[in-house]
Formats: sequence, structure tokens, C-alpha cells
Amino acid sequence: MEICIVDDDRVYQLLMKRLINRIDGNIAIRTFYNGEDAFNYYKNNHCKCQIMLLDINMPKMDGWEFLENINKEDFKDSCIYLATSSIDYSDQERAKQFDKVKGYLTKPITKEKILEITKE
Amino acid sequence: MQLEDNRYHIHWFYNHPYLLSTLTFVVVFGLSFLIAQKELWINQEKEAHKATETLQEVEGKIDQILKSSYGTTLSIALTIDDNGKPKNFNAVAEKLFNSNPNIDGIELVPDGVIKYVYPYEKHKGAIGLNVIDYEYSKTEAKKSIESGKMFFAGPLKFKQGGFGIIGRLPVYADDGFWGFSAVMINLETFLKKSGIQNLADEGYNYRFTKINPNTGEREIFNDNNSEDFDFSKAEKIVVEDAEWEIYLGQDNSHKAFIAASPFLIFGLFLAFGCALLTYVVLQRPAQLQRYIKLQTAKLLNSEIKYKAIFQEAGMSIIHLDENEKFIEANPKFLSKTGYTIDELKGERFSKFLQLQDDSFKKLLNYDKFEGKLICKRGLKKIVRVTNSALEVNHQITHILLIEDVTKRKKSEKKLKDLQDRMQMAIRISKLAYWDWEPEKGKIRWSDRMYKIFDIDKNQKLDSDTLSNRVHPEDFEKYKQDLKRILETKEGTTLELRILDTNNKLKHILTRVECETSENGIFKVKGTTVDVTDKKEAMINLQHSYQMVVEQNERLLNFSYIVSHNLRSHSSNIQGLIHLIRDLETFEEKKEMFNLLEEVTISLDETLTDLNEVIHIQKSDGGLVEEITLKPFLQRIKNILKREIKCNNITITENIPEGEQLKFNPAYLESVLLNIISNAIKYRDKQRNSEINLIFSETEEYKILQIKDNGIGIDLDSYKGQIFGMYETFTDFKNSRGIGLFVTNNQMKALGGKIEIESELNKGSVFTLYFKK
Repeated sequence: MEICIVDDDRVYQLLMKRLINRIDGNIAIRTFYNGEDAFNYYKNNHCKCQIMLLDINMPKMDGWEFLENINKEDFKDSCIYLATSSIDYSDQERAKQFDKVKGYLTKPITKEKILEITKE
Repeated sequence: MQLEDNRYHIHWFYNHPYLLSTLTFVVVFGLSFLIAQKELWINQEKEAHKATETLQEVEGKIDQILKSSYGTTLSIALTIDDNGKPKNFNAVAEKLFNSNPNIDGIELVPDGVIKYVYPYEKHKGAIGLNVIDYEYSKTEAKKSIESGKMFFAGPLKFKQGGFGIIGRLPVYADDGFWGFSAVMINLETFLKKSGIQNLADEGYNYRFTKINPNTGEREIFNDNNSEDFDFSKAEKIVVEDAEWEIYLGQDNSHKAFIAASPFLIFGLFLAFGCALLTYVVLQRPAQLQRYIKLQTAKLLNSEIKYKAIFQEAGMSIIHLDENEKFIEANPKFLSKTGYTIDELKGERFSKFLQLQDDSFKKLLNYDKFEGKLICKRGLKKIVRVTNSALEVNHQITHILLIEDVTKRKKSEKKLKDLQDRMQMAIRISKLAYWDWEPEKGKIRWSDRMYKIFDIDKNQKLDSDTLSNRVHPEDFEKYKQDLKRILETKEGTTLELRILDTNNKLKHILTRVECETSENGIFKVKGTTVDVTDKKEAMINLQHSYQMVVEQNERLLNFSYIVSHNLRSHSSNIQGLIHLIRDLETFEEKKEMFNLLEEVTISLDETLTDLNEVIHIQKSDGGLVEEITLKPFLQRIKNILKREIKCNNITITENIPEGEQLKFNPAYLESVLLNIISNAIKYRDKQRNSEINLIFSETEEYKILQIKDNGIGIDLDSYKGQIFGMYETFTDFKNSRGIGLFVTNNQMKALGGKIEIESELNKGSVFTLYFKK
């Protein structure tokens, strides 16, 4: 199992790594600091991760741009979750327009939430 | 009646000048003819009398010839002696012959045989002829013997030659008949001597004639026998002792006629002259007569027309006597007013007319007047009356044309109201109007136009009057608009700034219309409104709107900050605390506490940023000072000395010595530090970094440009976000997205602004506008 985290918040990334390791040490974690890096990585590679936690607010390429630019085919085996600190209602509404987005998670991401999404 | 009859007859004469002149001709000519006839008769009478006299004269002469012939023959006969022999015949004959000019020869014919002749030579051819036997003379010779008297035989042809009469006297001796003593008279001589020849010359026609004793036929001996001759009407000269006869015919009728003809010719001329005179004299009255007829016809025609107009006119017409009393009113008037003619007759017109001005009492002294016509049921109509006086046989009457102007008056009032309202509207709306004839350069302005431009009303207008007042910044646009209007001849709306005579800025709004009249005159005209107040209000409104928009933007920024940045910290703290609770080992917990500390520091920074932003936005810019640019820049460079040196940055300045800005020094420091340190931070490491500071100014702003040759920003992607809070475009660790946000706010707080131009891999230019 592999989980991909795209977020510019270093603290958050560390926190998530610890949290996921504690749940299951076998889960592989891949991290990107902004959408552009992630996009460039997956541009020609089939995404092997089952779960992607995508932040919205990032430099260079934000979450929305990333969703608009990626090839759907490359992500057909992956579940993309938007993971953001924004509690802005408009963001939640906007997320519904992308059928690639499986769910909208509001930070902080707890152990229970990880368990929930990894079970599916 | 009698007069008319007479006139009629006179007219008849006038009307027939040809007939009358012909009549004159006939009468005068007839009279002339009668006179000529009378003259002819008199002439004829005269001629007849003359003929009788002539005839008697001729008769006398013939008688004389015959008598002298008788004497001669007798004398010759006496020469015969007793022996029956003539004695001295020649001598006696010669004597007798010479004394008698009427005869041509003498002869003695004893026993009927010619023996002695005188003159011998002339008549010798006859000697020996027996006249009693000779065929041509025997009958008459015998007659002479029987009668015993002298007998003039012939005319006959002489044997010896010649033609004439022979007078034979039978001579008897004792023993009986001896023979003849005869004279010969040539016919020519006879005619001459008797005067007959003269008659012929005078125009008388005569005949010398004899019934041939042998044949019984009439013979005519004179050669003038070509004409017909009526013997029964001719005068006959009777000669005894002869068988020949002389007839004298009157052939002078034509003479008489010729004598009378001058009368006829004169008569003809006279008649013709009289006829002509009559014609000429009659012609003039006839012309007059025709003229009168024509005039009468015209008059009749006019009368018919007048009647038709009066009866059928669409206009009311009335006929009044000099006391304003009705004589007549046309059907239109009656139908208009509802009166009958009987109701009106004898009434004064002024009874039905209510005048606006009582001052004119005698209506009919005026050619035109207006008033209210009182109709049958008290209805009143405004009418305009035109009066014309008619004088017929020294009697003055009046024809009045009455025009109903009620409707016109109403619409005139309406128009007046409309005009008043329009003028009021123009006055209230402060609308100015004008027109311009470009070809003639004719310009007309309404009063309001002069007011807008603050120009004296008496100033002469030309095309420069306006263009001189146009704001310099709008002048080019104004020129182009004007050119376009004149080329396309299409209306448009122009907004212009002008400077009035006091150099006060005014905004005007002009609606332009183009018009080309029927006679080809091109006109530009329109309305102009001073919209300065509105324009200023609009600018204020725009400012307020911009402020509201900015406030709203800031509000959004705040909500964003709250929803993202503050929450991200709080959620991190929450997440860390959750994890710390779960962790068992101190080492693990310690690591998390370190992270927690990091998060709290970030949170503090964010709160500091926010505080700063709120402070800038709340304040009015704080203390504003005159800052001399050059030394101030030197201080900034000192602060950044280390970075400049380490990164080998070249900073050049293009700023006039002693140039000053009005700004808050703390803000200016913050702004310049921010931009210059950004230029250093985002330099392009591939080349030598250069920063260039350039000063310039406009009317409104002093401008400082900061140019770098750094990595640049993709403005296509990030325009609009550049000056937003927490907008970052790089992965640089210390990019917090707060510097430009603060800078922008600081500039705005003091009425300035910041603009950016940038190109990826080329560099950026930040332009700072400081309000003067």
C-alpha cells in the first residue's frame, strides 16, 4: 500500500508520516511540496499509490490546477482526497466538480480518518 | 321701349357695316347711273337735231348740183341750130364746164348716139355709143324720153371709164326728139360736192343706193358698206328725176355713250368712296359694340363665378349694407352659425360678433378684424374677418369673408405652451445648443453656451473659440473626432474637458448631429451640457467604489487568512497534540514538541504579519515627511550591505540630486527594503545581477522605478495574485507571500500605488507612484 501526500506544510508532512507509520509500518509514503512537482512526477508514470492527500493552497501549482492538468487514466487506481485546513464552504463545493476527488478532508487529519480511508 | 328699339336699330347698323356700305355703293352708283343716262339722252337729242340740220344741208346741196346740171345741159342744148347741129360746141362747153364745178363732163347725144364730148380727151371713148341701145343706160334713157324731163341716171359705169351719174335732158327739135344734152358727174365728185362725204367723216353712216331696174335688187354704191344698216330707221334724201336714193343713218349712239361714261366712272368712284367711308365710320361703333358684348359676357361670367363662390365656398361669406345690416349670407355661414337667412335679414352683424377689443365701434371701417362669432345656441367661434367694400351705383355695401380660426387658435396656444415648456426644460436642464456651418464658418451659440465657456456674449465666434478652450490632454482626441464628423457626416456624442476663461476645468458632454439641407448646406449642430458636477461626483463615486472593492478584497484576504493560514497552524497544533498523547517514548514526544514549537513560531509570525497589515490599513499613513531620496537610498543599501556584497549585486541610480518625496519614512524603508531584497532573493544566478533605480515624474506623481534582471514572474499565470497576501510563486523556504502584500498596502495608504512589469528569465520592473 502506498499513500501520496502533496502539501507545502513541512510540519504537516512530518506529522502525517508519524501518524501513518504508527497505524501501519508497511504503508509507503511519497511526498511532494507542491502540485507542480507531483504533476511532473506523474506526468508519464502510472500512479501506483492507492490514496493521495492533496492540499489546495500551494505555491507554483495549487491543488485545483493539479486536478485540471492530470491525466485521468494515470489515476484510475488511486483515490484522491482533498486534505486542507480550509473550512471555506466554497472550496467544498468546488471539490464536488471534480469526479476524480473521492472526498474532502478537513485538517487536522486524525488516526481515525486515516483508518477509515485505508479500509475502503 | 322706344329707346331700346332705336338702340336696337342702331346696333343693327353697327353690326352690319358690310351690308350698309354695299347699300351706299348701290345707291350712289345708281344715282350716278341715272345722271349719266340723262346726259346720254341729252347728247342723243343734240345729235338727232344736228343730223336733221346736216340732212337738210345735204339735200340743199344736192338740189343745187342737180339744178346747176340742169342749167348746163339746157345751155348746151341751146347751141343746137335749126339744122340740128350744135354751134361752137367746144367753146360753149368749155365755158359751161369751167363755170360749173359740180360736173365732170358735158356731152351731146343726137339721136341717142354720143357725138360731142367735153373735155374731149377724157370722154372720147364714149363717142359713138348709142345710149338708147346700151345695156346699162337704155332703160333710164327711155324713161327720160318718155317723161320729157331731165333724168339723172346711174350711178353707172362709163364706157370711157369712171363711175358716176349722168343727167340727161331730152332735147326736142321742131320735128320731134333730137337727142340728149347730158352732163356727167363722177360719183366721187358728187359725194364731195353734196357734202355727203363730209358726213361720213363726221361719223354718219350713209348709203348711196338704187334698185337695179333690170334685176330689181338693191345695189349699194358707196364703199362704206361693211356695217349693217337699218334702212327703215335711216333718214332718206329724196331726189326727184332720179332713181337712186341716199339714206343717212345715225351712227352716233356710241359717241353719246362715250360722252356719258366719265359720269359713270366718276359715279363708280364716288360710290366706292362713299361705301368705304360708310364702312370706316360704321366699323368703329361695331368694334365698340363687340367690345361691349365681350365685356357683358365677361361680366356675366364673373357674376356666375361670384354666385358659385358665394354659394359653394368652403368659407363663410356675408354681404352687408353700410349700416352692417345683412343683405345676404352664404349657405356655409348659415350652416356654421345655425341661423336661417330670415333670422339674419335686417339685423346688424355686430349683434353676432363679440370683439376682443371694444375700442373699435364701427366694424366696417376696418379691413381685417378678429372676434368671437356668436352662433345659434350660444356657441362661440373665434373668427377672422376680412372686409372689402363694394361700390355699385354710389351705394356702398360690404362683402365679409369669415374664417373660423378656433382650431388654429387652439393649436397656436398648444404650440405656445409646448414652446414655453420646452424653454423651461432647456432652462432647468441647463442645456446649451449651437449650430455651425463649416463652409461659411458661421457659428451660433445659445446663451447657456457662453455661460459654460464663461465667454462674453458679444465676442465674435469662430472655430478656434472652442478648440482654444479644449484641455491639452483632450485636444488630439477632439481634433480626430471633429475630422471624423466632417468626413462621415454622422452624429455622435463627445465628452470633453475644457478650460474656461478662468482656467477652471469643466467636463462637457456634447451631442452632435449633422444635417444637410435641401439646398445642400451642411450644418453641424447639437446640444452641450456642463457635466462637471456629475463627472466629479462620478469620480468620487468611482473612488468610493474602488475603496469598497479594496476593503472587500482585504476582507476576503482576512477570511482566507483565517480559513487557511491560521487554521493550518491550529490544525497542525491539534494534530501534534493528538499524536503526542498517543506516543509512549519521550524521544518521540520530544520530536513532536520541537515541531509544536515550530508551529507556534509560525503562528506568531502570521499574527505579527496580520497585525502589521491591520496597522497599515487602519492608519492614515502616519507621519509624512519630506524625504531626500539619494541619502535615504544610501541607508537602505547599508542595511542590505552584506547581501549586496555576498551576491555581487550592482546597484545603479538615476535620480536627480536633492530630489525629495513626501512619504512616511518607515513605510518607504519597508517598501524599498522589500523590493530590493526581493530583487536580490530572486536574482538569476546565471548572470551578473543588476538593480537600476530611475526617477521620473508626471503632473500627479513622482515615480521611482526599480529594475532587476532576475528570474522574473510569469505574469500571465499570476497577474492579480502578485500583491495578494500569502501568495508565493516559488519554493523558496523564506517566501511567505507577505512582502508585496504589505508594500502594496503601504503605498496605497499614502495615496500612491505600485505596478509591476515582468518577463520570465528576463527580469522585473516595479514602478512606485508617490502622490505629489
